[in-house]
Amino acid sequence: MSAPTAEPTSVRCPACRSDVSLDLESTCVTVCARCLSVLERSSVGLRAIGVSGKLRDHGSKLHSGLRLRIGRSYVNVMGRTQPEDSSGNRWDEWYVEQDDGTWAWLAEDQGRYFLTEPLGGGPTLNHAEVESLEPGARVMLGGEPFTVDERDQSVIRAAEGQIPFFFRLDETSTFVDLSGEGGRFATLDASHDPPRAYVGREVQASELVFPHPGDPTYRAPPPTGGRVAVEGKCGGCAFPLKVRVPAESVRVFCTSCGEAHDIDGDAVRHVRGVGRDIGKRQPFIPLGSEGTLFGEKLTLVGWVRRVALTPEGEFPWDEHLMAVQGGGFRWLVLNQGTLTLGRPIPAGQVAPSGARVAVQGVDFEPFTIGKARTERAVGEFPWRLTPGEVTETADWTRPPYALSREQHGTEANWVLARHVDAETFEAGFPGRAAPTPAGVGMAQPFKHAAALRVSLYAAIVAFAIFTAQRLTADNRVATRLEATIEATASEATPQSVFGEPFTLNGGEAITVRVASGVRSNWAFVDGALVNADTGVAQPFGIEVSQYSGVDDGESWSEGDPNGAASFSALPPGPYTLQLNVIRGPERSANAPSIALRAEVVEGDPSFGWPLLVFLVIGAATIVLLMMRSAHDRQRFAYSDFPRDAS
Amino acid sequence: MKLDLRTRPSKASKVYAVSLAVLLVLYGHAALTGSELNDDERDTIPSEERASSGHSRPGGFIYFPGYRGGK
Repeated sequence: MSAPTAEPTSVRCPACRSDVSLDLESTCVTVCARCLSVLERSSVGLRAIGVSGKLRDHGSKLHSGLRLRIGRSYVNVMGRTQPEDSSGNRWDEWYVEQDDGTWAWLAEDQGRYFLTEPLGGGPTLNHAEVESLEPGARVMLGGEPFTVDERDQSVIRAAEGQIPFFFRLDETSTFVDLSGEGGRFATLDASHDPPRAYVGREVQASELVFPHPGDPTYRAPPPTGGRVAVEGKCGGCAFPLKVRVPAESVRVFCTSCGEAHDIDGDAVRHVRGVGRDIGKRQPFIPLGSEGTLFGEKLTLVGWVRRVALTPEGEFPWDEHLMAVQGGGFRWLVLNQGTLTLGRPIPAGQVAPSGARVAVQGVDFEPFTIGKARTERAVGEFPWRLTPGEVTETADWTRPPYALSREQHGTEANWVLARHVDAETFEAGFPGRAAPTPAGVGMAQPFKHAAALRVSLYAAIVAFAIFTAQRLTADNRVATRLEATIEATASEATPQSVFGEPFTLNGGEAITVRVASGVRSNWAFVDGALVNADTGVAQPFGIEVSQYSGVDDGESWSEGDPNGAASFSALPPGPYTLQLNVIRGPERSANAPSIALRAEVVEGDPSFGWPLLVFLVIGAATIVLLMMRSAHDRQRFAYSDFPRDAS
Repeated sequence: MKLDLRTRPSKASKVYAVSLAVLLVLYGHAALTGSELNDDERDTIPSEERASSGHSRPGGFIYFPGYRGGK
């Protein structure tokens, strides 16, 4: 790594006379590290415009003065602000100088990072247009399509280091967050005139490469990760309160009485008239439970009971807020005794298609649409959760996933959730029993789906075997035999017929075909292929019959004068075909004898094996499809888009 | 997060997969060797009887194992 590009420049803080940094020509504001004065660059030098509030410790690994790599590019962290939105959520906006001398914005919020740069080319939207944007609206920025996630107001509460724009502390302004495909991200900032657009992408935590501890810009991250539990007492019942993620949580509800408290750093303040009595209602696992699901270490920090408001009544479900080790939150949702684990995704990842939506090209079908009310809560939340609040909800499903959208005011949140089966949950939370299912979950996959795939693959393999066998079979007539079966060939005195010697090549199935020409009669051919060298005989029997007549003016016929017998390959060698034939008494004086023709075909396999294989696969598949259909009907039992009985 | 639509196969699915695999192996083997289902049992005629005029098997059919053609 190389040193920062700009030469450090120190000037005096006009408030406390301490040295403050003003390294870059483009720095607009710098914050005195000693007295926290916010100093604005002006034509007459530095001018104090206020004092920064205390920075909230989010446990970030970033800090002013750090040089790190993001992807393939090195940047110098010059400063940050901490804006707070209307729900009380506070995040870090880090200002980084890139090696080409330009600035970029690295936002860090609940374990997620967003790297953006100012969009060139002049203003994109005016104030009125920004203020009119609603969640889900499509906006073109720099020729790129984006979807509005939320429009909210923010205020900068605290700052440090050098900042590349002018601002006022505690001044409220509108911002709009937008997202696009492939992790693209944008923000419209209406604190400027005209509003500014910043465009970039979401950066994965793994893309941030921090310097070695020996690097002069390295500073060890807070050992607590910003998650020192804060303890206090409930203002309603004096029950002990514990805030496990105070850096991110802004409201906590008493686990005993449900009273609400706002969190500000280390302080917990009782908020009257917000919490609701929880009675004996508690999450199915206690707050503070730790476990691992889908590779993420989770801690249960909050529980909320919600109800779906439908014309048929109110249907409750539980949501468990899980703090992720390393930052961020997940939702463990318990509905009808089944679990899903959800994570927020940007609206730009969701492609609407009529009533359906698609995520990463995977189609989701609609499941419910309506409203839901937050009933009561315990534990902590990173926004000012208010029981009684009603949101608009919509769900889509594609097992093992479910996609949910909730909109409250000008903020819409998308959550992509995955079904958690009992085995996975109990493996991830040792000692905790999974809830007992009371139905089929929205995202619950058909548990024998793999068997259906196996059926498909097996059918393909079976068809390949069948085709290959048919294409490569010799289908060679090894011998033919013709004889006249006299009327005297009875059971007591069968007529023997012997064919000429012939050779079998071996390795392929044998079929003996008989064409008898019987009319209103029957014959039974009791035969054998006899190996002339070894004396081994392969017996077979073929019955043929044919009857016809006229009853009540309608002609009829039944039976088949032709027949065949198949058997496994015989060893190669010389063979003879030997037949003993018996027949029924002749009723017609005009045709006292039966013309019998027989032939031995080598390499004409019967349909016995393929019939058996396809029968087994087909029967199993039909049973599986019926089971899946029943599963889906149960799954959609409480959907607004129910499956019919087909 | 990359969507992963795979799900854990049930035990019944595994048993079913193994059963079908066995069935397909048997079918493939039958196709290669020319085996058929439900063969009648072959009848081995003792060598000392081959030269005789006939060999009787259950059912009354008489083979002529020494028959090599002609009337």
